[in-house]
Amino acid sequence: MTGGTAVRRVHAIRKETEDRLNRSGLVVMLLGSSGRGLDERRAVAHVLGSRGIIALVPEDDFPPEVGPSVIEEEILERSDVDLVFLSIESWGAATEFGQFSSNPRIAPKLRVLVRPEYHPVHSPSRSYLSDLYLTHLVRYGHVYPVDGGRQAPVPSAKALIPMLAERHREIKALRPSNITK
Amino acid sequence: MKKLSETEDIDPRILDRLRAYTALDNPIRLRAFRLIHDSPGLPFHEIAKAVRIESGLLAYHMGVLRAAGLVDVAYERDGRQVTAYRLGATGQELFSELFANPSSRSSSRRASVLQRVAARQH
Repeated sequence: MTGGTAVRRVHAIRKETEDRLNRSGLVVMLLGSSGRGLDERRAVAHVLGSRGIIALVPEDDFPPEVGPSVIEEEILERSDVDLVFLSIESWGAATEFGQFSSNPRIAPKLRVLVRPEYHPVHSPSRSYLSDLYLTHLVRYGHVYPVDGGRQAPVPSAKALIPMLAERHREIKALRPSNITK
Repeated sequence: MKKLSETEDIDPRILDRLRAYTALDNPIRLRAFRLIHDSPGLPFHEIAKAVRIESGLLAYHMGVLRAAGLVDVAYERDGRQVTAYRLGATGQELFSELFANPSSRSSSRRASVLQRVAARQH
């Protein structure tokens, strides 16, 4: 089988499966901080994987020959990744947010997860970062409060990410023109 | 509009296949997949040479193949750290389905998969 024939055959099988399921295949990237944040992203990746969604955790899935911090922006711009979930739990992740939200090829795919005390709707904070969240919220509508604990009844990232990814792929399958790229 | 079934109600094997075919539905990843089948244990830098794309973008594509459960990764040290790839069990199965034994492959296997999907939907 030639390369072109194989590509067409794989694509046809994927489309038939998607049509039957009314769900699109999806590739999502899970970005955030290390430590507890990394454990949580691994747990989310496991949940998404069990739903047939490809979920990448760069620290685990990218070869160490290439540093994730060097390649992420180029990857997010040029690859077929559908959604980028960025949990902002550190200054490093906040820096990435600033970088990605100002890139028009990445920003529409970006789903930003922040603690309620930094979310512009849930908190009176007037920090520069909260102001950036507000700008992203108004332009793209995808800044979500997560992990509020008892004080703020908002979902955990582990509950929220699969819910958003699942709906995204239903829309992608049924009304692909409604997906902003 | 037709009501969607819950993902939890779908046969997990079908969801695995959707994940696998989503991963392979890209010419670069499919090429890397075939290279790895032909040369088990192929290092990352050799794949980069063969497919001729920037290592950053290739790292993404290899990550997709890994996250889809199609390839296994081993880390070896040869002066520097080297990441080597081989097909996992799911990858081997899919490779056989796609490329091996053209006379028996294909429509019958694909039909059986889709019949299972349809059975879950109706």
